[in-house]
Amino acid sequence: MAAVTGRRICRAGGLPCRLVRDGAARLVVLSTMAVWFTAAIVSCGNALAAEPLSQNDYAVVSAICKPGDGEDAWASIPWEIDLWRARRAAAEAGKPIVLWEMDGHPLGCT
Amino acid sequence: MAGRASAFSDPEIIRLASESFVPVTGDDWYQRRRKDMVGEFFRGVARQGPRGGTEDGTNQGIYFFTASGKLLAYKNAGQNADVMREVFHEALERWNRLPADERKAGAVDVPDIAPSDLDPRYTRGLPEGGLVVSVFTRALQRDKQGRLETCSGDTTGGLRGFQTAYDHLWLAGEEWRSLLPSDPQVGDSFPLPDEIAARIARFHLTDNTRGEPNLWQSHEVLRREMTLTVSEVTENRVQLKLEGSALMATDRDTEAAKRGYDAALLGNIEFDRSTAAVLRFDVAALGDAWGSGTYTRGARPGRNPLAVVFELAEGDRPADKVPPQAMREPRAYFSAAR
Repeated sequence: MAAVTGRRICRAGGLPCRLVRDGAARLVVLSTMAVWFTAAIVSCGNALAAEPLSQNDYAVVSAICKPGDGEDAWASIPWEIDLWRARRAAAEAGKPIVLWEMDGHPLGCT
Repeated sequence: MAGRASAFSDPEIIRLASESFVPVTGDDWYQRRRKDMVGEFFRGVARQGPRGGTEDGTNQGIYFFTASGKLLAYKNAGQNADVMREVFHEALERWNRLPADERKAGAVDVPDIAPSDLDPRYTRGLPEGGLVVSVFTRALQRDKQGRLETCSGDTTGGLRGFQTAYDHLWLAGEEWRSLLPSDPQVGDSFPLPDEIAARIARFHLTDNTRGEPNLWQSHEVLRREMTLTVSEVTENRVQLKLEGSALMATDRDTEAAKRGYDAALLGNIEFDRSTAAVLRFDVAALGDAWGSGTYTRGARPGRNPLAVVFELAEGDRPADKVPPQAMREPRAYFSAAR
């Protein structure tokens, strides 16, 4: 499944198109095909296969997966992510610090 | 996670945090371990609280302290806005009781730290020329007509798990540039580079809606097919359509697997041809997920819709620089296909 950027691969079966010009590239493509076919055989063993995403599902999912109005109010706080930078800012402004420390970043995956 | 929806969404707490304090966030996994001035300073603060500032156990919580490192108040979590509001006020009162000389601007001299003095084992940075893609994950449900909708608290056992979860996908400069064909023609099709597809499947098609997820091992990725097709070419722009699917499960027998995600992907990636810059990275994944993880108990019974949306990060906010969860193991993150 190596990258074949810039080379055209026909969609049906991953067969190489005429733009594959040299022997080395053919070797890469044939190796790639072998991996694809192996992967396809492995895939056949799995009963599950998600339905392809329709344009409608794509639009709906894109709209509702992200936070809705007011759901990310916490993000309006001007959180710093660098403790030392926050310490310097607090010293310069004469303010205390509030640190939200979690296992997993509070602004990321936590 | 719950602190986002409760305490830190409370208008008064937002005001206090934004105006009366310098607000900062941290991932304790890094912070408690790092052997540098930052780690020493943090552990010095944490040692004054109930967590003890140890390196081998969690120090998570909400800390209020001075720039000199004096702890003012501590709360282990922010689920209850009423309680947290009181803690904010308590911390401010203690701050105001400190001598004016300790509180005034410039009272504490905070030395510079050279990047070379930071503990590289626990410091993460986007590779030079790298791309940050925001990743949003959300548990969904279908209404009686089969339409997708967000979950209410009732269907996920309370607050936990129905909010949007966040992460970032990092692509090195050479990785995202490799997506742009040198001579794009509409209809050209090629596989998404293996490393990027593997990274997406193993580290980003995960259910992190209830907290830190188990990331997929290579052998748990049972199917991964992601194809790019040139869908539009103009003088200035190239658009690629991404289509594919991925199946991850803890057992090859997906019926027996305790945890899994069977997702289809669709989206568009758009480039500016003159600058080779990515203009859009809009990709969505949708499928059924099931099972709880080590730290993410309380999964909904059965198999339920889970969506993951990828979108180019704004890039100018500190939050955009938060490393991907899987970057705790950077070598694995950038060699996901091996």
